[in-house]
Amino acid sequence: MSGTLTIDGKAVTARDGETVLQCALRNDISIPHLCTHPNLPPFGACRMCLVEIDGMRGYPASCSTPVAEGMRVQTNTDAVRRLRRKTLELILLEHPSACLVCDKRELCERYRPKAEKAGCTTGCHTCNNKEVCEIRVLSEQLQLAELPVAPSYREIPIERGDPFIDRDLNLCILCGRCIRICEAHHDEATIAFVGRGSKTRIGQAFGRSLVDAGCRFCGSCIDVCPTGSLSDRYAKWRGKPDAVVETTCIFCEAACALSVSSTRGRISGAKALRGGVPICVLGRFALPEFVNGVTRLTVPSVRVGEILREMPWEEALERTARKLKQFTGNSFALVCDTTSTLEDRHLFKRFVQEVMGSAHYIEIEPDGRGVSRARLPDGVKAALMTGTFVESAELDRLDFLIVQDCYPTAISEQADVVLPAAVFAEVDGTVVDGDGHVRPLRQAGTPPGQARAEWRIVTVLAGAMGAKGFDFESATDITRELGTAEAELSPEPEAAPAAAANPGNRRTHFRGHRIDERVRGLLFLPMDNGAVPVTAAGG
Amino acid sequence: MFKILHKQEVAPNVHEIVIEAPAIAKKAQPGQFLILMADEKSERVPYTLSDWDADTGTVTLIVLEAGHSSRKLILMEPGDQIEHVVGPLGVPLEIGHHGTVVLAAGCYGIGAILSIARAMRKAGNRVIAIVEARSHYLHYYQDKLREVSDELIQTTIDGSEGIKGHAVDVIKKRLEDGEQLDLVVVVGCPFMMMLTGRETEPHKVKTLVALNPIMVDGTGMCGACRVSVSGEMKFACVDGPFFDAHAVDWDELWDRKAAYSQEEIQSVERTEPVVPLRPGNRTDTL
Repeated sequence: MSGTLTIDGKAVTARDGETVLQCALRNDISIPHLCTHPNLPPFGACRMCLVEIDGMRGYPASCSTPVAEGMRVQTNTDAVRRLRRKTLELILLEHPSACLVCDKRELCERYRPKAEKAGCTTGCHTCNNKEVCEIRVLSEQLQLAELPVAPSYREIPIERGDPFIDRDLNLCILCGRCIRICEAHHDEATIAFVGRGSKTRIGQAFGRSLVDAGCRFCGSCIDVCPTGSLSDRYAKWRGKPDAVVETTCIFCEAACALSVSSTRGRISGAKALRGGVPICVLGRFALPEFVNGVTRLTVPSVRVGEILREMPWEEALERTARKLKQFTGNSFALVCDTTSTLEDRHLFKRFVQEVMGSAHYIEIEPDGRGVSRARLPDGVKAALMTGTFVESAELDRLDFLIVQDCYPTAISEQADVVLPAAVFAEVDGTVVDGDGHVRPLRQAGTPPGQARAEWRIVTVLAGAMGAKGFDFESATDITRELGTAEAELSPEPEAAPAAAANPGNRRTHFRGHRIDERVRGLLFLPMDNGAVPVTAAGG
Repeated sequence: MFKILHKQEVAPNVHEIVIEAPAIAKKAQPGQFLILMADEKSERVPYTLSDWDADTGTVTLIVLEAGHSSRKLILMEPGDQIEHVVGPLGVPLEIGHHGTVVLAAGCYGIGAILSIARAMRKAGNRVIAIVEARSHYLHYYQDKLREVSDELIQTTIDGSEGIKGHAVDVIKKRLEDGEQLDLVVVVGCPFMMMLTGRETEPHKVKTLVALNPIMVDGTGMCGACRVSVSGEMKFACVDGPFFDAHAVDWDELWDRKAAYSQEEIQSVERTEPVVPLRPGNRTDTL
């Protein structure tokens, strides 16, 4: 129903199908809550959101009580405050809670604001979730000061034998959010409440590992966990991000909307922007590790005699330009794939046609696994390649090879010029998804070392060649020249993308690189043909 | 190579490791420490000696998992070999006749004061061991400590066992009640050591703290462990680890300890399963 009710004396209008909690929160009336979550149906387990409603017996849970015309709700009476606090005290008897009642808390926060990266957590000070913990917020809201009786520690061994996910169930308060999101997101849930009574815990049937139990590694359970119990192994000690950017995942053509977080300019995590539908293991877990690899190309280098010598951008590009002038016309080719932005590719194409006077602009659409392959046209003597797209034997006949990429490869070792490129969430621009929609790519992190956006490299190179009309200041300037449709983030899809429903459907390659060589957790996830990727042939 | 003979998680995240190291066991003295490298690529990390036995040639350490290198150690099993164990290092604690000696300890320090308590008591001191933990389930070595001290006081932050609060609260109360304490030795995290020093200073009670800055060689060569004490630069490895709590520049110590915090996080950023260190599965790439 929709109608008018009063909450704490304030008249508010409810929307169709709303619960008391939803209505209150929408009207900026705060009610403590814990087990409920915006992406999940009401559950009513934690009893944090108890309220008083005239004419109703007891203290109904506002998360699971539908609004009704004329309802009079009290959210902040002495009785409900006391009930909530007592309930929280009970919840915390099985959660390492000493730091919450510590009298040195203020000093501790001042001298050591960051959590220590302990193996297993015994208090907020050693908890990965410290800076974003919902329990900590609740304990402050409810003015928790002491525990009624001695807490117990469940002594469950910490679980870190699966890729990507760490579990310390000694922190778990059994709110069930993870189980409910797993049920909501997948045909068959991987996790459930296991055991009964005081032995109840989150787990997989028959004590199997997450991999063996068919976990899709969508990470939704981590995203909804209010404690530090479930964590993203890679990101867990980075704390609260400095910045969060909404962008598009370009690991595959599904182009899911992502929320990418960073700390000090370094990309630290990624998750589904909206979270109503899961994203795949690549979107959820692979991005930070892929872009933060320690072997990233960071400095331009040019072959001088036998060796590749690192040098400043200007010098490297001037040397490249001088050499390239010998290869104008169809003896030059540029090979890229669609992991470069539309803006990058637009300038690549213009560079090939206008500056080099060649017809050989080769743009590859990767196959279903992300593999991009091309052949160099006959007569080509010089090439710029943005990845490993051509058999290395073909490169032997080249007189001049420029590789513009993010990681060193067999062909970059062979190249005459190696240019470090910014990729993926390090750049601004637009891409086209599998359905032909233009999607925005927004810079969420700083490229490593001197790596640059690809369009920027082309503008300088074209300038060094003496070309006019390449003086762009930003990716947006190029978008304007391109005249593409307004880019919009993907809406929430109706169903999970194929790779989110089954990680075996995921792509194996990005821009000519095997993703699992950079993101080693993927080596433990079988592909859909049953073969574990580590045994597959290198790309 | 040094063989692990025994390993046990004595409290959550607190691991007791017994290592075969006869030469070290023969020379060790209370208050000294060792530097360990779990494998050939490990960092060198100092660990305070908890106990040793010259007859059986073993040394006992308390190791907290707090990062990449300690994780490597605690994932090893009895029978596994530790690549390097160097020690005993550092100036031993002066075991004289002081009178009433308070040994205050938290986390790994609880293990570290065991041998100190034994020696201090043997030298004729009245030894009060005060051990602090967040909660009752984090206390360990209580029986061992009771054997070697005149009084054992437990504190917990949540009040679940012993006195509610921290070790420093007990010391403060006793001093305010007029009890004569002749020496306070604190082994634990810098936060605990700093707070204890602050409380004993107005009462002019000599207070020694075992500083634990980043160390590399442990023999006075690299200078990574330098600390300022009374405005003078000292090396915690060869001048310490014990210093006057009232003269330590704590702010500088905090800064130095945090110098590599980003790199330390980077070293545990991996998405593959955390697996024990064994020949054949050494997947380290960093």
